[in-house]
Amino acid sequence: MTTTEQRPRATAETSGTAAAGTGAPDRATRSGGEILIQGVGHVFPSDTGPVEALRDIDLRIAPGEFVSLVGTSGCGKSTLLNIVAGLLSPTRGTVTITPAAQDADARLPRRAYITQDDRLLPWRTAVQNVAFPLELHGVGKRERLARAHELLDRVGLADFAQRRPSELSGGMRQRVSIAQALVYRPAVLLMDEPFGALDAWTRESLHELLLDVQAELGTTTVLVTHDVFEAMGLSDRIITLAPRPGRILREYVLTDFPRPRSHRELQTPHFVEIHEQIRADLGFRT
Amino acid sequence: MSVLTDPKLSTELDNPATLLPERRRAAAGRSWLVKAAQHTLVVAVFLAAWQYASGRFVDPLLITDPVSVGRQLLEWTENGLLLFHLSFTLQALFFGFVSGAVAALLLAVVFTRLPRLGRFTETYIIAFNAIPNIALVPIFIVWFGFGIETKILMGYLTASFIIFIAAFQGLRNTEARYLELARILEANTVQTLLKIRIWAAMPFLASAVKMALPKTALAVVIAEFLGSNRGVGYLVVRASNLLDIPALFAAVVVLTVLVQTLSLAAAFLESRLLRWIPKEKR
Ligand SMILES: Nc1ncnc2c1ncn2[C@@H]1O[C@H](COP(=O)(O)OP(=O)(O)OP(=O)(O)O)[C@@H](O)[C@H]1O
Ligand SMILES: [Mg+2]
Repeated sequence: MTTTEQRPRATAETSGTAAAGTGAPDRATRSGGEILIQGVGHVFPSDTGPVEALRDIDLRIAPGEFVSLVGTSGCGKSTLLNIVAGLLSPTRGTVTITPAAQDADARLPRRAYITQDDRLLPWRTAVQNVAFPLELHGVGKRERLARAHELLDRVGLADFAQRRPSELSGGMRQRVSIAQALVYRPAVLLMDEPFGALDAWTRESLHELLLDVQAELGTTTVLVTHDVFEAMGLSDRIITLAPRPGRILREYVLTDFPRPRSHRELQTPHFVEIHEQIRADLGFRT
Repeated sequence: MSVLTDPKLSTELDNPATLLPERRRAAAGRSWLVKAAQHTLVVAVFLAAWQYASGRFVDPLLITDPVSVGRQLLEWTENGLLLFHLSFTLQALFFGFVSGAVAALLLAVVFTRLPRLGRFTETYIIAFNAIPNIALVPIFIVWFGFGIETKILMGYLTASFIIFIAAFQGLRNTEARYLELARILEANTVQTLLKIRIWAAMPFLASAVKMALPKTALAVVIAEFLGSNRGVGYLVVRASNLLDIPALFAAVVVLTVLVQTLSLAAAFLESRLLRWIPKEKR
């Protein structure tokens, strides 16, 4: 593991106040945190005996790195992400998140977690949901609404700001979740199959958004996905997991390939080879 | 697929929920008018039949007649008796209900923080609730006398039991994913309570209020039955002691209107509080 260099990123010294209405991206500095996973193992107790979901996971994710986890269903990806998110304490090992050196707004939470099913609050409108993290940490009403509207605009939901989650489609709800996660510029962004419910075009525009955010803020990102092309298009590193118990199988470093990576680029021999290899890791015939 | 057979389109046309807002409002207005007309008709027919039967088929001493009842109500309104008694009942109801609701909410919040103590104590609370509260009125009268305190206490007990049970159940059963969101977003305990738990419990709370409001009013009136010189309950008792049948019927009418109004107000409040839940899921 040698990914120690951070990619260049915007370093303008403005604070976290987003100017309402201006189209220019707000370039607050907030670099990513480091994630250190050491000797993590997890066993779920269950009626039919203990289930070992994870074993001996050692992983260092550098600040600003984009890592994808791929593995077959039930191999422990969500469990690992829950542990990193702090929702689940592992039965063994530790996870350390070292916050970024400079923080634009130290009040705000450092971690964001977008899960397979959305966690929007049904009694709040889309914009109120997006503004919720800011509301919890003392950001004034005008500023938080301005920032929430800006993010909704970026995920293509400007016209749906006043709708409640029950009035939105699954893919729209997922986009609101993404806006909610990005609105507070987290140092660490964890995503569990965030694009599963989306069509290919919406997916692609959200990929662009993610890469923009990465370039702008240097957010450390961990993405769980079933889509190997998605992983190859976005990641600095792809990690394959083996099932039962979940273990790290292999990793693929892609830092030499600049992003965005076009659809055509992903068809070149090098990527085709990686794709084949990942399929083989996961036990598919190549 | 033709327009006519497109199932989505045809349900949009039939289902009032999918109509455009202004057309939906117009439709709602019309149906409200139709309903009001139907109810007026039923009541009018009933009153006419009552008036006709009284003195012809049934002894007027037993069932009196609507005109006499109306005259009695008018008299009470004019001489201020109605307001005098109604305001007493409403005062007792207000203080009993509000203090009961506040106490129930606070207790439910404390027990949500201390779930083991809560579940332990809940057993006793439910057992205590099984005592018919009429049986307690004589004891309260001995303790607090015939004044408004006894009525407030009855209202308090009735409201707080119903609301506590619902609030405790609602607050402790917040969906795990909302609590996980609170943890990820680093919400503090108070924020989690005020911005998540209370809202998630809202369906429970609203239906508890809907149930508790008329029941509290009845509890207050029962306390008035059993010992009082004021209140709607006292109107009923006095009329029955005097065998004044028109007054008795008039008092029952006042009582019915009171409870019915409270039920409607509570149902309205519920629908406002739960506007965020799609209608078909309520
Ligand atoms: N709460 C739980 N109790 C018991 N076993 C669990 C629990 N959660 C997960 N498991 C088990 O742990 C293993 C890993 O589950 P996990 O949800 O992490 O898989 P996953 O890789 O995210 O799968 P998918 O791609 O289908 O989402 C599975 O075998 C599952 O049965
Ligand atoms: Mg999963």
